[in-house]
Amino acid sequence: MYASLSLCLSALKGNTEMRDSAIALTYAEHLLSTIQGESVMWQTKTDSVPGRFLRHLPVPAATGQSTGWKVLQMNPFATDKRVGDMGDDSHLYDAGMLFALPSEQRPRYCTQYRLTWVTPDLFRAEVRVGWSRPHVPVDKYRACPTAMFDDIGNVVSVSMPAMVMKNVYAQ
Amino acid sequence: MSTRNKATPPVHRVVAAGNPSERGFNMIELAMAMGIASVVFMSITALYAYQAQSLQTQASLQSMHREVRFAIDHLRRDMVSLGSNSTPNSGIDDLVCPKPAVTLRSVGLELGDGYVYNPSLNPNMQSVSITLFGSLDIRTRYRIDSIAGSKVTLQATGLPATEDEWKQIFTSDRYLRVSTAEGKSFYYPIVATSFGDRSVTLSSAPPRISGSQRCGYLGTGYGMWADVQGFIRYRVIADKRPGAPTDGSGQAQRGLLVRERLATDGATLVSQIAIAENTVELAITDAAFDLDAQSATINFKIYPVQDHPELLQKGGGGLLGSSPSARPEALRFMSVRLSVRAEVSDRDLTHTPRSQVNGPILTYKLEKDRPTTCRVITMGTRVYMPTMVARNL
Repeated sequence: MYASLSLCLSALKGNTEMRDSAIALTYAEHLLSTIQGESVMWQTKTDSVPGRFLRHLPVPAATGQSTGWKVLQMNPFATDKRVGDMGDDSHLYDAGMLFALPSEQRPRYCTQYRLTWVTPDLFRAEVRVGWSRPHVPVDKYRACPTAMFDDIGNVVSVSMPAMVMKNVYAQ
Repeated sequence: MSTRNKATPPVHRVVAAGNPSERGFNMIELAMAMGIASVVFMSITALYAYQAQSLQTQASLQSMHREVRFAIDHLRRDMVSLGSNSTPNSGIDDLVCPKPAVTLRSVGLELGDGYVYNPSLNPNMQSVSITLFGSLDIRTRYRIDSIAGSKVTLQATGLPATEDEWKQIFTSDRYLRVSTAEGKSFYYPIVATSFGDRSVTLSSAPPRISGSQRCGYLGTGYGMWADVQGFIRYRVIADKRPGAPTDGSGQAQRGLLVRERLATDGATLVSQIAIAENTVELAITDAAFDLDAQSATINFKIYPVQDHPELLQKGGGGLLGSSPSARPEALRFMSVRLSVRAEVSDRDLTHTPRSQVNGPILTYKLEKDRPTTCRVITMGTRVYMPTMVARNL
């Protein structure tokens, strides 16, 4: 009987984890598209790199130089930095999305990103989304520290990279 | 005799007073034991039932996620290539010359074009239909051998090897785009094709460049590129396939997200494939435009759909519509949202009707007086359009 119950519980945990992974992947993809979309404003004629994400790129551009992992945080005063299925960027890019999918519904994802120069016109963007496993105390990773992604016994995570290019087409 | 009788106690006394391990149970003990066993047994049964229900719910959620992920992936793949080897808006694109009879827009949305079952129980649902134009299905380009009148003959290199393959590519619901070496192009609907002589007949003869005629092809057209392009539409329709659930009056209970191929007029249906079952709503949430084409720097404006009625209007109006005021060429990225419901209703779920258009959808109810409330999940994604940026119209 114990074995049977354990099997059921394991199946439930597995299913939940798969579902969380699917949502996290979609969210990571969404964020990368945001960074790519923002790069439209990054032109040869603009003095600085504009935008919410791109302004963090280290200056001057040197191959391999990186922002390091940065916690994605829309509200700088919030101590709980976890967000819902589609983040919490309700002021700029996702006001419409979060109207339908409020962040406070299931805030459990920690999001971090890193931007690394490849050439002066190109950088690599990486997004990683992590969340606590069910047995972990609810508040353990509310601050979304960088180190949490190394704690693979307690945290599940997905990551996704993309190359982002300067808008060299706009003249 | 009597002495022996006195010395032998009654049997029950011997058992009662003997070794405790040899004692039986009295009725009270037995009743208590049975009671406890029943409680334990019922708890285990309830636990099993709960587990089974949880597993069913999980499986249902899993299935819904699979549907949504697949549909969103489909949409993304089509939308991310918008404007690639095509025109974002033939009406204002100087590289399209001569202009086609129908204005070709890379994207056109229509508000309120979507099926909702039982809208009185499920208010404020408002799907959009998304019509896309471009080289969405066939991306291969072919070399032209010659153009004579309305007949375009292609070079043999790279052409489909079989007639079946040829017929799948060169169909009369598509346009043939011909591109010149200077980057200009013209679009004509295909009306007939011949695998045998590798020719495609267009709806009318494209002009030849000469004198004051600056649009068209040069010489015999030899060496120019040709490819096929067409319209694709995503929308939510009533699922009327054989075996799909219907109510007592024969009305379809299921919404189906389909990807439709349209004829060259951009409206007539040619064929459709199912993308996601039990679709509740297809919507867009945010769109970013770079509307000031004259400005030296790019500053796009982001439009959350709930605050900007100018984005989408019923009948195809708005910045993302299909009327002349639409500005698809200025679109830089767009967020799409899709909601699907569970196939099976959940008895324990209470229906929460959607309180406002574009707000959260929590549940979906099928019938009024029966426990037919279904779970709904919603997922979204942003689609960034790199080619629209590259064209920068």
